[in-house]
Amino acid sequence: MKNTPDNELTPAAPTAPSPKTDTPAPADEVQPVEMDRLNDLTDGDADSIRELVDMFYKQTTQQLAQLEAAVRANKADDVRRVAHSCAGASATLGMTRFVPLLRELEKQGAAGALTTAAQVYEDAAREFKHIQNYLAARLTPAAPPPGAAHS
Amino acid sequence: MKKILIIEDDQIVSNVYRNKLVMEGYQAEVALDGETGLKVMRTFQPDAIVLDLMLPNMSGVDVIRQIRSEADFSKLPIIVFSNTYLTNLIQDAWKAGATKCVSKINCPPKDLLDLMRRTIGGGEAVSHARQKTEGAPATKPATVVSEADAEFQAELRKTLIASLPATLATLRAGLQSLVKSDTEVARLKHIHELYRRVHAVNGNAGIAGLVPIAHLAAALEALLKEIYENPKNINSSTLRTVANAVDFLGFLFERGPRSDKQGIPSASILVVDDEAISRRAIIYSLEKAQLQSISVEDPNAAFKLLSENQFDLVFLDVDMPGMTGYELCTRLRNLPLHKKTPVVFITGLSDFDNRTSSMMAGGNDFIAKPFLFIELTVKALIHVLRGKLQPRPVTGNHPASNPQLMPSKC
Repeated sequence: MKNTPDNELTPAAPTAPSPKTDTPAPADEVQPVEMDRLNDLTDGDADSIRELVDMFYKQTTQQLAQLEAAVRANKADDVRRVAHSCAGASATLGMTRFVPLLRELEKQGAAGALTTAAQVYEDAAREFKHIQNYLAARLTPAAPPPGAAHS
Repeated sequence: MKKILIIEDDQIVSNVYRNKLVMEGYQAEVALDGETGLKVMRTFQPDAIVLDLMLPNMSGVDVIRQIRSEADFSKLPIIVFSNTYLTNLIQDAWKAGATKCVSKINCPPKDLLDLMRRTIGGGEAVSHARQKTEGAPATKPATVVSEADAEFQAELRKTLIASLPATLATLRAGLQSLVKSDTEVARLKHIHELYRRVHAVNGNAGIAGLVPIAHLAAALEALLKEIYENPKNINSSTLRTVANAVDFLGFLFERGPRSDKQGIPSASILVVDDEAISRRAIIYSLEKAQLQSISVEDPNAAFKLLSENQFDLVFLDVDMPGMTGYELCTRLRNLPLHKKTPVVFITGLSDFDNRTSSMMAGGNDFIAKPFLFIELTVKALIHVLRGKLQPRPVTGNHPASNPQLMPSKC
């Protein structure tokens, strides 16, 4: 058998299911996750997306717990540091509504004045749940349509 | 005689391929856009189609979908030319029914000919067929074929190299217009124009075998496409990267054939970021250009690695516990191995003060977080290619020669 020449490109693993379209969001509503970024980062490979999302869930759950503790203890520098790290990862994955909340916590932490940090933290924790619900609806493997051909 | 339809908007590329295919005994037609291609297909009834995915108006993927929807052409071989850096587009082409996808970066006419012979057969040169009927030897001597190919390729390259100064002037003028544009509409128009020009550079360099030029042009084309389609990503970081890439294309153009033999050189790249998902994004962006890297989360561990090994490029997160990226950069500049190693800071804190800090710490470049993956790819390509074409003396261990330093996943 001949080897594939260097310049021939091969198909990737099965791609992730497309976002469900049965309940489209209004055009001006910002979605919790930029799916294009997730797809781009994983070349659309469903397993890689799930692995990355699991990694994000685990890391963010831990960071939110640290943030909650730091806000309660009024430890501004800890709030800044954890919020900064969490915002970086979230921005990388395109968590569009989550990031501004984390940036606000980072800002308040850097200023040493956690004036509304408790409320912002609550908003961030709620948005994290939205993200989980949003992704759960989109990353569930879709059943192949009846009669779909396999190549 | 087998018939091939080439749907490609670049007239130089399409004519070069057509001439080569005709010379080798195929019947070939050219269409310069998707709609025309579909019309020609119905009358010409080709045995295969060669299709550029990046067409104006009707996209290449839509052309494939239309072809597959017509019963007469549902099994017709479609060879797709694409940009390696547009992975999602390539996946769309596969899903739409492409038969084969080929990278435009390095596809001289001879490679297309070989691909056609493997896919649909045919392609015996006219003179060859005549010889056969006259009882001459059935095969051309291999040396004659390769000499003719080499001559054809040399002529192509000569023509392209002669046109590079004019091409560069056009690219620079396009960049100037982009930088000066003061409305979003104007900016998008100039990005699109620059994108079409860079697309042409990619195709022309690819057929002429000028691989580094084709690589960088392909990555820049993908970046321009990304910011054109998602204008929210147009910012000082992405525009600076576009400008750097156009500048560096100028450097590659000046070198011309001196840099054409190799693809992307192997390089040792160190990634330092305390956050796992960001590390993964950086590694992924590097892998887009087949660049391998070593990644670490602890800046102290990074400093130890830097003390003992030569690296060709370093990406540094700025805000890390224990030691900031700026501090690490200042320290690594004191190492004899890394006085001139390119250092790129990755930071969400991309205001002017931090740019000043990055330069004072000895950094060469910076990229704003969250970065576009292809933007980081373009930056890495520029630094790696520049480093290889203007080499620094290697005085220490290279990670490639150290079995303990395997390219890492985060």
